[in-house]
Amino acid sequence: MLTFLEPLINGILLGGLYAVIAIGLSMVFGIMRQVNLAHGELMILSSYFTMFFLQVLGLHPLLALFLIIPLMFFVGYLLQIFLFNRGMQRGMEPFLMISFGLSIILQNVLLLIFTPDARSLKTALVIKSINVFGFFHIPLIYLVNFAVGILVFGLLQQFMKRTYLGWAINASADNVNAAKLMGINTKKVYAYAMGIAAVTAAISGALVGMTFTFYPHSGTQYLIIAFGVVIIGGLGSLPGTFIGGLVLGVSQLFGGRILGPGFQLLSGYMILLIVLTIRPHGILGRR
Amino acid sequence: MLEIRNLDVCYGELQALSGITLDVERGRIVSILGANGAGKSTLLETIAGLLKPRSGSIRLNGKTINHLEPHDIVKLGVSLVPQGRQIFSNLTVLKNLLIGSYTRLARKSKKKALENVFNLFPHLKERMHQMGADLSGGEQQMLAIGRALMSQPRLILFDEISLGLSPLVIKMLYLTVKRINQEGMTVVLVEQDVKRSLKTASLAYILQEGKVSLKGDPKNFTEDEVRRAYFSL
Amino acid sequence: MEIVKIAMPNILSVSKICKSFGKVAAVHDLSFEVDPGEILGIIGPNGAGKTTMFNLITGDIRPDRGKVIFDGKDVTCDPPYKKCRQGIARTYQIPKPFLNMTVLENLLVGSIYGGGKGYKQSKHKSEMILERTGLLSQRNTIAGSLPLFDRKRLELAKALSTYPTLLLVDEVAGGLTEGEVEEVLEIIHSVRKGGVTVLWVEHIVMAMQRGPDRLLVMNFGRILFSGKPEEAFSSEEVQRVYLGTEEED
Repeated sequence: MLTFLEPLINGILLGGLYAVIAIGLSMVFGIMRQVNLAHGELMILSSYFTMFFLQVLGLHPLLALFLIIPLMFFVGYLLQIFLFNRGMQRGMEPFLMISFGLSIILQNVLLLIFTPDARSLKTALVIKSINVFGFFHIPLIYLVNFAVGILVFGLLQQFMKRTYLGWAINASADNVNAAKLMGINTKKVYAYAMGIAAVTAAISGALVGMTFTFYPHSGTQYLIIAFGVVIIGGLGSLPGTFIGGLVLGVSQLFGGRILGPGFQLLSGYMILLIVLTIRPHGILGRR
Repeated sequence: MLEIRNLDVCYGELQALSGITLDVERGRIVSILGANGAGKSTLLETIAGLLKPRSGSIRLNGKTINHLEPHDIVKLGVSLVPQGRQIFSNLTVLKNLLIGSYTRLARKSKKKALENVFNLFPHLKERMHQMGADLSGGEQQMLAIGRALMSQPRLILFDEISLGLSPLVIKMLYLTVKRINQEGMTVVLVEQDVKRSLKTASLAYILQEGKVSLKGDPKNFTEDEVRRAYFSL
Repeated sequence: MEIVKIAMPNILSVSKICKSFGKVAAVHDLSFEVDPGEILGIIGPNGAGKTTMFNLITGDIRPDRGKVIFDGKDVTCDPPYKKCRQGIARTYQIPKPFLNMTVLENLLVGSIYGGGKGYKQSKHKSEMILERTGLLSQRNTIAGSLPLFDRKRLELAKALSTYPTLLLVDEVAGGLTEGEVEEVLEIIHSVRKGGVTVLWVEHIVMAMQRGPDRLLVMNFGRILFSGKPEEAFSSEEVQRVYLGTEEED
C-alpha cells in the first residue's frame, strides 16, 4: 500500500504543474475557439529567459518571474494584436497555420541562440527533497510547483469572477456580437486573454526549467501534455483543467510504478483514451 | 438625431439593403416593419456597427458613424437590444447588467443606472443572482433591455422584442418602451406585430426586399397600403 | 354524439406528471387527455411548463412521477427515437434543418430512418408532404438558404416525414406575418384532415383563436383552464394571467 502512496502524492503534485502548463491552451480555446500550436514554445522561451536571468544577473528563477511575467504578457498581447487577430475570422485553419509557423520560428531562433544543448535551472530548490516518515521522498520542487499551481488557478478564478475584464472575457467567449454591443472592444479583450495565457506559459516554463531538463524543441512534448490535460479535464473549465492535470500526473506516476518507468507516458495516454471513450467532453467539460 | 442616406448593405453576396434613406428625430419612437427577410434586422445591425455598409452614410447628431466599430458606437450613446435577446448565459443577472456599463463613462454612473433598471423591472431585482440561462423568455427579454439601458444610451434600437413571448408580457414590455421614451429616450423599434407597432410609434417605415416601400404616420396608414407595402413593389 | 366520444379511446393520456429541476417544480401533477384527430392548443406564460411538458411527452426528459400513455401503451420511459418509430413527432421552436441538404433530402432522412420506408416510396410520400406544406417548388433548394417562413414549413414537413399519428408543434407561428400565420393554420388543418392528432403550443393569439378545437391554459406547471378557445380567451383568470386586459391607448 505504502509503495503507492509515493506515486499518488507525487502524481498529484506533478499534476499541479501539468495544470499550469495546460491552462494557457485551455483559455485560448475556451475564449477564442482557437488552438495555439506555439503554446509549448512560449513556455520554453520563458525557460530560456529564466536561464538567461539566472546566468547573467544571478537572479533566482522565482524572482526572475517578476520580470518575465510582464515581459511575456506583452509578448502574448502583441502577438494577438499584430499577428493572430488577422486569422480569427475564417474558422480555425488560419490561426492553426500562424501558430504553427510561429512555433517553428521560435524553436529555430532558440536553437540558433542557445545551441541544442540540454539545459536545466540549477538552484537549491531542485536538489532538495522532503523525507516523508523515512518511506519516500517528495522533491521540494514538486511542492513548489503544486503551490504555484494552486495560486495561479485561484488568482485566475477570482479574476474571471470579480473583475470587469474577467467578465468581458467571459462575455466575449459566450457571444462575441452581444459583447461588442456592450461597448467591449473584443479584439483588445482577445489580446488580454492571450497575454494572460502567455503569462501562464511563462510561469510553467520557469517551473519546468527547474523541474526537468529542456531543449529548444521541448515545446512539443509540453504541448502534448497540455492537450492531454485539457481533453481529460474538459475544455473551457478552470477547475476541469486543474483536475485534468492531477489525473494525468497521477496516472503517469502510478503507471510508471506498476508497469515500470518506461511506461510512464503510455499510462497517461491510456487514461486519456479511457476518458475519451466514456466521457468525450472531459470530466468537467461544457461544450 | 439619426440620419441615414442611401444605405447599401450586402450580406455576403446578397444585397440586403438598397438605397435606404431614413430619419429619426430626437425623442420619437420610429417603427420599422416588413416581411421576414426585408432587411429590418440588417438595418439595426448596421446602425450598431456589427455590419458595414458598402455605400451610403449613417450620421448620429451630425457625426458620421458608419465606419466605426460597435464598441465606439456604444460610447456615442447608441444601444441595440438584439433579436433573440442574446444575454450572457454564463453570467448572473447582476453581472449581465453590470457588463452593460462596460464603457468608462457608463461605469461612473452604474449604481444609479442599476437602480433605474430595477425600478423598471422589479422582477430582475428578485432574480439578481440567478444565471442568465435559467430565466424565462420574458425575463431574458427584460434583462436584455435592462442591459442595453446600462450603457447610458440616448438612442435605443429594439429588434423584435415580442418574439416568443406571451401577450401579457408583450403588453408590459411595450408599456416599458413607452415609459423609457417619455423619459427622453429616442427609440427605433423593429417589430413583426404590426398592430402593436403602429400603436406605439409616431413614424413608421415599411421595408420590402431591402428598400423603403412606405413611410409616414402609422395612424394614417390604410390596411391596403400596408399590405401592398409588405408584399408587392 | 357524446356516447360515441366516450367510447373512443384517447390517443394520448398524460397522468399526474411531475418534473422538478432542482427545487423548481416545472410541471406539477399534470393530467390531461387528447382525443384522436383533435387539435389541442396549449397556451400560457413563459415558464409555465409548456416546453417541459412537450419534452416529457417526446422522451427528451423523464418525469419524476406520473405516466404518459400513447395509443394504449405506457411510453413514459421510452427514448425519443423509439417514440418517433411509434408515431410521435415534434417540431422545434428554432427550426434546425440539415443545412447542407436539400429540402427533399431533409424529408427523406425522416421518412427512411424514422418512418422505416424504402427510397422510392419515401420520395413519393415526401413530395406529397412538400406539396401539403407548400414547399414542393423548393424541393431542390439547399435548406440553409431558406428564409424564415420556409424554414418553419420545412420544420413541419420534416416532422410529418416520419408518418406520425401525434404531432407536437412548438411555437411555429412566432415571427411570422399575418398572411404567413394563415398559411400555417391551413397546413395544420390539412394535417389533421389526414388523420394526425395535433398538440400545439403557441403564443400568437390569432392562431390559438382559430386553430385548435380545444385549449389548455397552463400556469406555474399546472393546468389553469381547459375548454373551447372562445371560453378560454374570455375567462377572467386567463386574461389576468396570460392575455392582459385591453390596454389604454
